[in-house]
Amino acid sequence: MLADALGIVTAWFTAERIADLSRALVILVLGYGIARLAGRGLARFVQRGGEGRPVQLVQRLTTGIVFGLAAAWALAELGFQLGVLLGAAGVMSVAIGFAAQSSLSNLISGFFLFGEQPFRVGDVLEVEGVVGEVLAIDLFSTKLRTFTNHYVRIPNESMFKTKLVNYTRFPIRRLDLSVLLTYEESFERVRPWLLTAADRAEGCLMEPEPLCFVKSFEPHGLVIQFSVWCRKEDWLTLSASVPREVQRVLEEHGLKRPYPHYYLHMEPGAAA
Amino acid sequence: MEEPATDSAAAPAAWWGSLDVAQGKAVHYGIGPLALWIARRPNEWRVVYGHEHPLAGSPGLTANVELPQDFEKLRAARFGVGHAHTALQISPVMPDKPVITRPRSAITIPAVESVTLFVGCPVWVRLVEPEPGRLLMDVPSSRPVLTWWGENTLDGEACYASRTFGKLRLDKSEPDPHRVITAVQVDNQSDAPLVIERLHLPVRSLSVFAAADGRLWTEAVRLIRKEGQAFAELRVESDPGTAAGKAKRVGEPRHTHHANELVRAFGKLFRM
Repeated sequence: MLADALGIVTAWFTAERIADLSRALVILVLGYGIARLAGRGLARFVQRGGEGRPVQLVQRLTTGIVFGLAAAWALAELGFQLGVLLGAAGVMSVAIGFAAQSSLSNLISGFFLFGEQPFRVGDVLEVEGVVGEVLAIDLFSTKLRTFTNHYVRIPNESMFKTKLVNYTRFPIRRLDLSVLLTYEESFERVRPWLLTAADRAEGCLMEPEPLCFVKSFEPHGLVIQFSVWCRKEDWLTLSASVPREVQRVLEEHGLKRPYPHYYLHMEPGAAA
Repeated sequence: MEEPATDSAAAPAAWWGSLDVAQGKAVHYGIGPLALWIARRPNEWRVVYGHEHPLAGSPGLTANVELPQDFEKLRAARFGVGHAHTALQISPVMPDKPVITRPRSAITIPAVESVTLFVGCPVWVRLVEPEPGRLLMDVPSSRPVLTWWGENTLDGEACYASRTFGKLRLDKSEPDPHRVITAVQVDNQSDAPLVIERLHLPVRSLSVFAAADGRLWTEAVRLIRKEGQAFAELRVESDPGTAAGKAKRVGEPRHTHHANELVRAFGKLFRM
């Protein structure tokens, strides 16, 4: 029995088959080496484009594709009919496609995001009501860290479809503040005080110049729009310093702050 | 404690030079609006400074002082050291970002004309341990104000705004121990007038010189604007120029200047 089995194996391993196996093995080993080199090379090339590029993804994809081609070649050397395999793979892929529709959608959205690059690692985004810093852009999802230090995973399909605000795309940002004044107060008198507050506020840019104008007339006073600029990295500092300096400068000038108030006129003989 | 060197009997006392702060003691420096305390503690240098402190503006050096109690209004830095050296070198250095000067109203330089503008900016104070030759920190002599240098809000760089406006002649006022003057010769070699609304000066590559009258100067700078060029050629001379008189180098540049550098030196008002 054992002798029969050994005979079959020995008969299979003809010189021609051993040569085919050796070729396939060499192709696989060389293919793996070339795939790794190609992956690293392309990743290094992408890395030159700056921080936040999908370097890891490019490396993995390139390695996978090159090694896949090498494996197909090795199988062909072993006498496998690639056409039949590819046909079977086609049928399989339809089945897998139906099963993994959302995963594929995320994957393809991920590719589009890499191409379009609406954000990079380190940017601060607002997506679907979540504000956070981008930690990673992966094949299927993007990871954010909120300012309360929560980890948020958002599928790439959502990132691609939904409205997304990138707060740190540009090097400077504008902070808008509404200041309420009583109608007894003059806007022209208060304007230089607000500009003084901007001058004192830490992180405030002198140019673009602060904007200061009457935005609207409300029941309890007029609303001044006061807008100042800062570097994106100074945003938190400015957000804290500008309201503080505005409050300080208005107090220095003894300005009365408005609050909801109503006048009641009592007319004689008009009682119900 | 060694007294810092004085260049001239008529000039205000120079604040730069070497000093010795005994263990457990502190000194106070008043340099323009800067109030600076340097204390030597066991295994520690402590530096405290502020620009709105009541002691700000009290000029010169005061030895054997106490550190101020109102720390919350001041900035403090502590440097842990393993040695017992008590010597410190204090020197003037130019700001760590380019400086933007904006004349009160635009200055027009006619075609094929050359004029000299005197541009001022606050000096920074550099603290170095001569043994073993380590930089402790740089302190601005007045609170630096940032501004944006760029044609739009998408591209540009953050610079310091000069509080002076660029003068066509040197005024006769008292020397200011915390301001550095740069004589900027603007050569308009083109056939069109050059309108200067903003002047960008890459001060990091300039040294600081002390003139006999106590004023601080940098090397004179020549900006050459040629026909059809958006950029100006920047040449840094070897000395402050004739307006400064005889001057001695007291502070080193932060960066080495590259010969015949092209810079975007002239800008227009930032309009939103």
